[in-house]
Parts: sequence; C-alpha cells; structure tokens
Amino acid sequence: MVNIAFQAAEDSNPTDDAALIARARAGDAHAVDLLVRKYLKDVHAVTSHLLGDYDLAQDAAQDAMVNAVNGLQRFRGDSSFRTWLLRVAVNAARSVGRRKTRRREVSIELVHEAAADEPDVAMMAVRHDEARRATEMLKQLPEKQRMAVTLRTQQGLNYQEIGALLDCTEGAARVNYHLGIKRLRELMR
Amino acid sequence: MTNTNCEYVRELYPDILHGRADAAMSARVRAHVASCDECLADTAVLDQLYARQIAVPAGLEARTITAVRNRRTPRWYVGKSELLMAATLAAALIGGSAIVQMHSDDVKNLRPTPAVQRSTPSGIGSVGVEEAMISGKSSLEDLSVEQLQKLLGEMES
Repeated sequence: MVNIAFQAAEDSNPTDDAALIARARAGDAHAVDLLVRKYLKDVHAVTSHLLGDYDLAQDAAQDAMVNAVNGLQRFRGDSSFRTWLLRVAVNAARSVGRRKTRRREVSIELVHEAAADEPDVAMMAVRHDEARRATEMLKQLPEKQRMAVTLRTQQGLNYQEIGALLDCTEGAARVNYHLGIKRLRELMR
Repeated sequence: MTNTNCEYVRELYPDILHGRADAAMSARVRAHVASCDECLADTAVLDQLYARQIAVPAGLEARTITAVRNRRTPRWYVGKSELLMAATLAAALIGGSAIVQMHSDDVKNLRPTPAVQRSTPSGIGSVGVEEAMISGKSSLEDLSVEQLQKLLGEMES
C-alpha cells in the first residue's frame, strides 16, 4: 500500500522552470512575466488561506512575486521552484498579516472547478454547496491544520514540502493534515 | 484493507486527485473507499476541498506583473542597460567638471591684473572712471569715499 508509484513529482515541468529561471536571472522580462503568470494562482491560494482576507491576500501575493523575482539568485534548486516560491508566499503573507492596518471581511471569491462531464445541473449545485461549506469549515481550523490540509489537497504538496513551508517536520505536517481532516469531518456533521 | 490502510488512503488520496498515483493503485484505493464508510466520508471531504479552487481576482495578474517590472532592482541585479546608464552619467560628470574648470580658468585670465587695478585710484580722471566701471566691483571697492564722491559727480555732470 505504501509503495505507491508516482507519475510525476511535480505538477510543473522542472525543465521548463529551469530554463525560465535562467532567462529571468539573465534579465529576460518576458521570462519573468511567464513565471508570474504560471505561479500566481498557487501563490494567491496560499496567501488567501493563510490570511483569509480578500485584499490582504492580493497584497501578499504581489509582494511574494516581487520578493521571489528579486531573490531568484538565492534559489539554489534544493527544492522545486514551486515549493521555494510557496515558501516565499508564506513569508510574504505573514509579513503582510503582521503589518496589516485594515481588515475588511470580504469573503474570498471562489470558483467551483467542476468536472466538465458533470451529468446533472442539480447535482452540480449540491456539490457546489457542499464544497463551499467545506471551505467555510476549513477556516475554523488552526492555521497549521488548515494549511496542511489545503497544501496537501489543493496544491498537491507532499508532507516534506508542507513541513518546509510551515516550519515543522514532515511528521508534524502529516499529523496536522490528519487532525485537520478529522476536525473537518466533525464540523461538517 | 485494515484501519491502518484507511489512514494511508486518507494520506495518499490527494495524489490520486492530482493524477500522481498510477492506475492500479488508484483502482485499489477507490475499491476500498467504496466499501469503507470512514474512508468514504474522508474522501468526500477531500473531494470537496479539491473541487474548490481559489480564483485569482481580476486585475491581480496585471498588477503583479507591473509591480514586478517596476520593482526596486537589488544590488546583484545590474543589467547591461543599468551599467551603460551609470557609465554615461559618470562620463557626463567628469566631462562637465572639466568644462567648468576650463571656464573658470578663462574667467580668471580675463580679469585685470592687480597692477591695472592699483593704477585706477591714482588716475581717477576720465580714463580711471572707465577702467573702474569695466573692471567691476573689486576695483570700485578699492576707491576711497572721496574718490567715489568725485566719480559720482563726474557721472552726473
């Protein structure tokens, strides 16, 4: 059961990333734009889940991208670029969270990426509501549980990557994920 | 599958959602989930979370790209254009200061020599006045009050 075979370690193509990063480091503005376009969604998702605030999440995502591009020379390739970038996003979100002077309670805009072959509109609506409810319940979890669950389910990171992002061990990341799922199930009863 | 395996299902299920598990493993996990109420409930939550992706707000991408392009360039990030601009500025400063120095020397050369200035008070008549007027303030300052009054009187007449 444990010996699961993985088709790919990363969603992103590391070869493409390496070429883009090399070009971006050399000052190629187009390569920088491509990196921003490719990863902004992931970065914004992380800042949104960490901050839970519509405006602050955008500020943090923008800061993260600027910081990442400025710090491209510091990316050594010890992890995937995506993992490194999400780490930058976590830091940016925490920084924005610390210096926030305003907080407007605007719910995060979410989209339901339903399967294209959804057979029934009514069923789709029910699932949409359930998914929205799950996301609302998610906000009630402690930060590490919430982040472990979202980074695992929505970003597809492994526990080692999650631990690196959340400043905890791989084992702690795994525990936080399981506790988060358990708590979510309780909340959704 | 045992309860321990239920834990693994929960742990590995996101990889199935992201298409990272092979087909055989996916089939085994889904078969187990279909027969296990606990895993069915867990994976339902995971399915719901996976289905909810946060959309990038309108305009954020454009704003971010603009911010990245306008970012303050760190020290290491000095491109050719920045070096060229710095070299041009340095050349302009050096060249400009040299021109100013040359101009300053020329002005000094144009000024009357102290010998000429000193001759002014003694010959304060018609020639002396013209010399004083041309030579400017420094020469007029050398005149005494009486000489200045005489000079003004000549100008009025």
